[in-house]
Amino acid sequence: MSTVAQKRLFHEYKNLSTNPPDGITAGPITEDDMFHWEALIEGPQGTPFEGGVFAAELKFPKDYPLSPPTMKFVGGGVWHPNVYPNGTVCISILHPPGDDPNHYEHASERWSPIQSVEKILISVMSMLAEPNDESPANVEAAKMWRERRSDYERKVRDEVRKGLGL
Amino acid sequence: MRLAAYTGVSVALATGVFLKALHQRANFYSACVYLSQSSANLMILTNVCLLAVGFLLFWLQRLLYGPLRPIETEQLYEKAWFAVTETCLAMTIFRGELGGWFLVMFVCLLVGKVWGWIGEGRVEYLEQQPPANPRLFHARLATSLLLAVLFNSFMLRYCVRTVLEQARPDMMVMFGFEFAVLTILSSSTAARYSISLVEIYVTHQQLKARVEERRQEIRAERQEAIRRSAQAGELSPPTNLPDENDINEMELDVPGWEEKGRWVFYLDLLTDFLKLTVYLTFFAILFTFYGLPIHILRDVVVTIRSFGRRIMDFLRYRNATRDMNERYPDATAEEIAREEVCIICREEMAQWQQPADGAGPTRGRVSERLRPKKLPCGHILHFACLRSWLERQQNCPTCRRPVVAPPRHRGQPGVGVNDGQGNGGAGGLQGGPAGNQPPGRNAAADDLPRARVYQFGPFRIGFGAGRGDMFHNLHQQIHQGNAPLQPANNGNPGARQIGFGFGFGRPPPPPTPTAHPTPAPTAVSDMQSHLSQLEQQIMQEISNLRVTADQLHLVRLLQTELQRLRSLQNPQANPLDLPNTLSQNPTIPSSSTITTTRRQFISDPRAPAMTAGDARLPEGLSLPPGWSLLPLHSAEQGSSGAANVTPTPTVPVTAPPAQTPAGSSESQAPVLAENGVNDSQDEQGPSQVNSGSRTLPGWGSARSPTTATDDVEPVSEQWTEVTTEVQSEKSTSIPVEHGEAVHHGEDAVVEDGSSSSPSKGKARVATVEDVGDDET
Repeated sequence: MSTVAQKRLFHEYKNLSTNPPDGITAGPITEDDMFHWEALIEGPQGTPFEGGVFAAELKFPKDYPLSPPTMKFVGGGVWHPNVYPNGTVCISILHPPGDDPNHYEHASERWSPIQSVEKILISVMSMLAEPNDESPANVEAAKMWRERRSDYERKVRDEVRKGLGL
Repeated sequence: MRLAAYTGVSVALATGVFLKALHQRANFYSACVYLSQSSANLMILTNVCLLAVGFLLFWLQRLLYGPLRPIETEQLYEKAWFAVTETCLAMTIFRGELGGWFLVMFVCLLVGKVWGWIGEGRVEYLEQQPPANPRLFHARLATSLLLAVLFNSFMLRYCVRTVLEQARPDMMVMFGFEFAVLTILSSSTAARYSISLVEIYVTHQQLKARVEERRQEIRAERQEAIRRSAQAGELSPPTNLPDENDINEMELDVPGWEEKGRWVFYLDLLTDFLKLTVYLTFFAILFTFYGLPIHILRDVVVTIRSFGRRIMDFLRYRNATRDMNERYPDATAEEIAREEVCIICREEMAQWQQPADGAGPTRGRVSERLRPKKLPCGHILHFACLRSWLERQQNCPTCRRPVVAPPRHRGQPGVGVNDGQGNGGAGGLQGGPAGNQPPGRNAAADDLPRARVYQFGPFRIGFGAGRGDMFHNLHQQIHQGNAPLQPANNGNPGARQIGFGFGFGRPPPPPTPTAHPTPAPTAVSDMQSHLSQLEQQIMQEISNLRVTADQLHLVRLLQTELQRLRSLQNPQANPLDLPNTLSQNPTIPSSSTITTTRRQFISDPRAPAMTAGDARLPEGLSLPPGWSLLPLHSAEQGSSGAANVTPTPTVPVTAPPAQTPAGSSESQAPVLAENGVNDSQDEQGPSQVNSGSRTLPGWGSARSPTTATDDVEPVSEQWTEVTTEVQSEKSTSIPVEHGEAVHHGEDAVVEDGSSSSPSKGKARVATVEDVGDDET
């Protein structure tokens, strides 16, 4: 008696472990709970995040392919306009389907069952490289990114180094 | 560790205070008085009480829910913070009512909330994963949910009672409100749990049935194998017999409870509605007694909005999932091959086959919920996946195009508007949609500007802007119930008009489709009808030609007559003209047969012929010597009166033609006729006599004179119009043309083949009908 969500998550897990995309590892923390995953993302090359490895936890709702999961960087240290200070990622494909009440983003950018864990993680990787400062989750970081780019990059590098224990 | 220290300190302090009181005071009563006098003592004791309650509840929770998972604890902390903050905000409105009892109520509320959250989480967890120890889990969960409902309703009842007894709006109102919401939520959770239980039960039953089925299959296989081995002559039964006990239940696929999603939906809707009601009531009470409660304003608005959206979603969901099997077609094999994975569950799809009646369940047949369905945009999903997605979003998950196709194209404003009203759902508007658009509209009417006509029960209101003939159309539409328009070309089409009309009364029933002559929708009959149409067209052309030729001929006749008269007036002036004119005359009668087919006239036997100088002769008409005039009446009028006799240029063969002025045709039209001929014309009409030079079939024999005259009436009228215009035509080529026209006509009629009376144009319609009947 396994639900659609569990089947699908298992499917995705299998795909991710047999054919992992570059710089991404993900899987459930325990096999008992398919709805709670952990992911590791490498910082994209050519960005201040380069060289870092960022751990994030993904929580899937029980109606998973219909509703998006939530993603949160654990351990802190992701200084980014689209990441809340507590680590929660704010990216449009993680927003529940339907029209954005604030009209920031098109309905087509939001969650749909056609997305997957892999796509989310790839999107987050590209988000790290190219922040979207239109609706920032971390206003301070957005301001810094917009106005003092070099400071922002230095701060990010520092965080990365700290995160790696250097 | 910290908790233990805190507990130790609290207990130690409380014991110390208590012992001190007992030690200092003589008896227990005075010790209690002492304890309650000092705030420090009270605080210490309250702290211990809270601690005790906390422990009690903790153990109760351990008993009824079991240990909490870490994620549950985390969620509880988050939610508890919110709850405490909100309640504290709400308390600001009831300042000055804080006290011991308030604390108790507050703790009760918090406990109720936390208990409810745990229960909710557990029910959700149950839906996600089967519990390790189902019996214990269900017993615990059922007990705690029941307990929550009972506790909350008891507290609600208590609060309501207190409020009613005290009859003043104070802190208890807020608690009552909170407990009302809690009661609703806990009942909702309990209902959700029941739904889950039903689902489990249904799935279990299905699984059991499936396992039984499978067992029987395996048993049959086993026996078959044994029988086969016995036939083969082996002594020992084969070793690789299928065992009926090694069925992996996980592999069996059961549909589950299909209705579950809908019930959950209903439950959520009901919960939201009740919550909204409670919120609004609380809002109203606070607004009445305390002024605008700003702190819950946001909650009220959010609840209203979410409720509204839920209803909208519900309506759309109902709309999109109504008869899904009919609405979305099954995907075909090649479509599945193109898009083989359902994007929702990421599993492969297989073509669904209609289960044959009575056929046993076979392995490998695709179950109903895995039936691949095609959306209007072409994407394919499993039936169950599609339905669960449609519960949330009514568009395609892949391309996000809406799945509910618009009922009709919006290109035709009249149709669209009327349809929109019909779908609006208001009962009154459903009155006359049937009459709004008769189904079979001709394409020509669509090009005309159409007014929007709304039907409100018996009223019809139409408005629109368009070109010049708009008003006419609008009027017509309103009074005919938006019927197809006749193309009206009156008025100047350039001017724009804006119109508004109002009609009353039911629209007339849509015109019943007239029975077409095509008896069966076969290709042969189609072809035949097409042929007969063509034939009709040809006949029309022929008759048109004939009419033109007639007119031409008449003009020639008139011209000749005019010339003759001119030459008569001044014979000396040009004496050569007269022979010319007269020499032309013989050619005319040969072709004049056409004109004589128009109408039958009979002379009145009682009226004597008019000779020259007769008083009855019209003014200005002078008969040459030796001529007489016989008044004729048209045949259908008989002898009673000849009020409407049109002049018929009956030209005698032998006599020189005489002119009949067109203007004198009003009353008794005088017809020039030779003496002695008139009586013989009575029955057959002039044509028969005059056409003696040509062999024409006797048309009069088959038809009544009335029919004949009716048919030709318009031609005769046209003739009078045309004569004034075409008088100056040249005269030489007429007979030839005319003769050709006649021949064409005859040829066409002969081509028709079956007509027994290939007469002239007047028999045209009848001929075609005859032909059609004969061929079909």
